[in-house]
Amino acid sequence: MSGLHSRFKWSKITIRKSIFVLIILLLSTFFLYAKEYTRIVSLAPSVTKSLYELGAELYVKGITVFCPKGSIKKEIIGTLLEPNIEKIAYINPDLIIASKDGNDRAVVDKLRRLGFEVYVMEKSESFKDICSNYRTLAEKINRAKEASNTISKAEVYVDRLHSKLSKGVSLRVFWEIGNNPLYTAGGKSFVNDYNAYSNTINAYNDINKNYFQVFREDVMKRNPDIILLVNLGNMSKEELSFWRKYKMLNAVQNNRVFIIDSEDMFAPTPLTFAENLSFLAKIVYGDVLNVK
Amino acid sequence: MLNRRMIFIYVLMPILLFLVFFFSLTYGLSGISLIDALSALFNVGDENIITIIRSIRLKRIIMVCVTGAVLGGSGCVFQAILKNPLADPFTLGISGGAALGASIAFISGFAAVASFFTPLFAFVGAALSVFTVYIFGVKGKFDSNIMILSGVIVSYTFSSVVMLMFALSQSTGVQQSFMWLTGNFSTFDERLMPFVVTIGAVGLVILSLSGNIIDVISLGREKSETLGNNIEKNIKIIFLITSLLIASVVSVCGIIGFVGLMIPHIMRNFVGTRSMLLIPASVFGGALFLLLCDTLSKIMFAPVVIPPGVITSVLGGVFLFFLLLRAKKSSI
Repeated sequence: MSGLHSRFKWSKITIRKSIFVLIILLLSTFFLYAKEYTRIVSLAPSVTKSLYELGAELYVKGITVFCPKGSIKKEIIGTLLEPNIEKIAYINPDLIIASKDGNDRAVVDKLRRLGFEVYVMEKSESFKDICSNYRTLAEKINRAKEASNTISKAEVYVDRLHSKLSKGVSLRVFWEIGNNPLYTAGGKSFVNDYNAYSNTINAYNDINKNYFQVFREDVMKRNPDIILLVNLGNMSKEELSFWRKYKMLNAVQNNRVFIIDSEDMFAPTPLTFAENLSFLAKIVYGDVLNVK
Repeated sequence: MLNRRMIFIYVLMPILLFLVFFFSLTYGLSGISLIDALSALFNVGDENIITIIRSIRLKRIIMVCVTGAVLGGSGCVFQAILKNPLADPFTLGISGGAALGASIAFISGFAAVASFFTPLFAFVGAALSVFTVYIFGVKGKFDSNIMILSGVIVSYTFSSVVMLMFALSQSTGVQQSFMWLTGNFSTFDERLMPFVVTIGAVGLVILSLSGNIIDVISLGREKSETLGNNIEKNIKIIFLITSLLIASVVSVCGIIGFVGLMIPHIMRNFVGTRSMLLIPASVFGGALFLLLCDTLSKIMFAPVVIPPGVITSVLGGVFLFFLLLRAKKSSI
């Protein structure tokens, strides 16, 4: 009788144990696979770029006209400011990713009211922001490991470059991000992070603004050591020869007027931030560094 | 003659409107066939397609029709009571006020907190400009020239304030405001639709029925008073109803240019100048024209949607130009 009882007890424990294990298994599969989004629509080029980098391109089903096309064909869902809501609904995504900086809040609200899950990527104002926003995005689409790898790579690179460059005098940079009208980046823009890590100073970091219009005379008065013409798609080569006419400028005397072809200067991923920084360091300091 | 015009307005125009409505509802994405679209309209078929047809397309079409009808009808009323062929929501400053309100919402960042703030601010802005024009132009002795002048002043002042804000602003709200300033039917808040449709329908019926009063007003003060019309009171009421109508559609969908100015002129060619006929004709004409333009804006560069305001101006401008040319020729 007691034997039977103990056997019964034993089997009860086994059942309990196996149920427990089963629940754990189920929960773990839930946590591992529930967040695997397979039909993602990206509403901003910066988001699309990050998704590709994180190895989620296969699951990106819709992008804007301005997004990098990638290697797999995707539906085009309109532009950054005017996405085609019908088209997005037709793709029937399980996740839509927008950017707080680029997309209209009304679009996000509309898509949410239609019952879609919309994740909004936060605005980045520094390299730290870029990394943390990238990490949160990666966690959302279950790519945290890939993000950690990329971020630590970028961080190591940026730190090494920084430590190599943090000696000597800081040169003053004029960031020209538009020539007609003349536009530059101020103290609130994150170009200051490029400056900080490359041991240079933004000539306009005293103006507490993001991007704003300036006068040529004022730029000349500030006499920057470096003039960087950021080509976001419409910077002409004439602008280069225009500045070179003014021989009294430090930048011209030392032949430090450059064009940077970078469409993602102001919306980088951790990796492209490192690339842009290395490019900047190279043109400012020459090939004296060998950081890879 | 009258009967033929009545048939044109109340039979032919609705039929045309229905045809465009039908086309706009069923034509669009390549993956949705006519039968899919029709069955989805009656809640049958794929859930996703039902959402697209019923929640996105149908609501957009209704909103477009109401906006077009209000702009067409109210443009006609303004032109009649102010006796000026250039009167429209723009010249009276109402659009300018809405633009200022919406721009403030975008640039201050309120619109980024909740999209509901945009129509709210736009409505307040439009109401402010209506109030200003009313104070200067309508109160006391009514003078249509002073009223148009004050509308233009309000319009210019507000648009310079908008430009000043754009110049000083740091946010991406500038781009979003620009999109709003060319009209937008993609992202309007459909929860506001019942209000707009109700206000639109009631307002337009009232205006259509007061065609005779409006005609009397447009005869001028002396004649109108001889006919026993209290011109000040009637103008006040009609001006306020029309302005409220415009403010409510413009604040939800942004600024659509040219419809209010052009549709009455086009319709005058078909039904003559009597407001009793011209107002309902402009109401249908506005709805038909804007729906046509909106449909084009969706399919011309698909999947990229272009601002419908651009198409209204181009298409309408060319059409009106030819009408004017023809009228000039026949008068010679």
